[in-house]
Amino acid sequence: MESWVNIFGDKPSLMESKAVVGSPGLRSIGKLAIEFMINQLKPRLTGELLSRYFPTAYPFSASYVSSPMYLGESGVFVEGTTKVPRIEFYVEEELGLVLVKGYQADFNGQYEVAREAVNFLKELGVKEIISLAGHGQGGKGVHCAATSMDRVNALKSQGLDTGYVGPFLGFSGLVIGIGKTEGIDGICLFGKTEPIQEEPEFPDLLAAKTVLDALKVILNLNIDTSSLEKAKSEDISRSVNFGEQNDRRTV
Amino acid sequence: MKTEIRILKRPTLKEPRLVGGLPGSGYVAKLVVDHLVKETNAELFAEIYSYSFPPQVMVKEDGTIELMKNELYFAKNRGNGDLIILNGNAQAVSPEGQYELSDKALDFVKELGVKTVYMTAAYITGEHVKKPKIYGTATDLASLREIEKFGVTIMKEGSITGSNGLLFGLAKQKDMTGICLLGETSGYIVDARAAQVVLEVLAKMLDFKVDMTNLENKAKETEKLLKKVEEMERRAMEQQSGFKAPPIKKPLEYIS
Repeated sequence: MESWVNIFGDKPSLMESKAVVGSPGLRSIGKLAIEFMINQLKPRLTGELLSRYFPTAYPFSASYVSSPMYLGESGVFVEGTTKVPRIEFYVEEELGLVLVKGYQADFNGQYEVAREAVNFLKELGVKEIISLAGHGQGGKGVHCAATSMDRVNALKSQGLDTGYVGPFLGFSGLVIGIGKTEGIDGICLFGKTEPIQEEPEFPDLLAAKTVLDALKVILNLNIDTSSLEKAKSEDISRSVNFGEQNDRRTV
Repeated sequence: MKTEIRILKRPTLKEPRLVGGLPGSGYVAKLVVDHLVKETNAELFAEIYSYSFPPQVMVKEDGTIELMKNELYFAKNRGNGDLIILNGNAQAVSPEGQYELSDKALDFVKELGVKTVYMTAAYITGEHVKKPKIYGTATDLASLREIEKFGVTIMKEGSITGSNGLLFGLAKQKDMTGICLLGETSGYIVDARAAQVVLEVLAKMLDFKVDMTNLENKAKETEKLLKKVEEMERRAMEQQSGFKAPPIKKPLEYIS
């Protein structure tokens, strides 16, 4: 096995819990949304997934576009101390939520990593996975999708619309697909955004806010997302959470 | 590298032949097997998952999500035996993955009694044609002579890339016969006319009937699209050269 999970402290005992997943991706919508939730809910870091397939740099494409031709570059991040790339699993026991801060493996590792993540979520008692992401067909608002027509119809009855048709790339999509084969329900919320060719992961804060506002309705969650309206994308892109792939790379 | 076959049902089959086609140029192969699955009311009995498929899921028009996968269906009593149909929403991306998947899929269908594998594919010419030709190749000379009788032009040279090539090419290694039928296509558009030509010949070879109405309708759409493409090319040529080409003759649609 080239990918594995380390568990911190006691494994929480959750019943019928839900997982929310966000990863580096188009306009960083999923990553922004999950980091915002982690900051707001202050959940406990319960586990990490490490993999030999995690690059620290993706020199030829966005992190979520995997190709067997370009496998990225491995290494460590330096933030005061050093750390290796990882997927983080946080648990908020009172709400029965697992928050997953994803990471994009290279082409050879995407499926294995997603499979390991789903196995761990199953161990934690997760019955539904909700992935937060973006799609680049422009406009404002959110499109939803789900692993069954029943879930699609339930989302529609909560005021959400389907409408995006096409591929959902990378970790956050694969955990939904693999979860489905394991009998775990899955929901995707796609914030509509404008792609930026030169910098595909340049943060779109308003799209992240829109996705979080939809998630609040689905989970009946009480969090204030208004600060995302005031923050500036330019500042965010220079903060510690961003630019891991390109901005602060040293060889 | 990991490929997994999930068996949903183990059918008992009589003289089964494998017919396959995975998404590729012009979607020719995919259109053939999509149509065949629908028109024969074929039943899904196994799913193939691979870590070498594109790392993504597909969001479908109804809002549901599915993992990338290949599927095996069966249809009873079609011509001289039963049919196994290999369909899918993706091909493995890496060569290693394509070999692994082909190897496992062929071992699996051989266990079910398959002796001949018929794959479909696109023969890319780069030019639009109204009546696509059908090309073919096989893993042995006797099969080549046999498919020639159905008006198939035998491929003299070239390569058939990806899983649509490997799945019949590797059949020989497993003591099965491999045949591939390729519909001529430009490679620039989704080509239902090329798919229709392939399926018509395939049905004759395997001696079964299949209703072509839906594919014919799609082929008409292809032709409309072709006309638009030709018109756009004509205009582009005019703009480039300054020469005004004669308009493409339009059929008389109404009399006033």
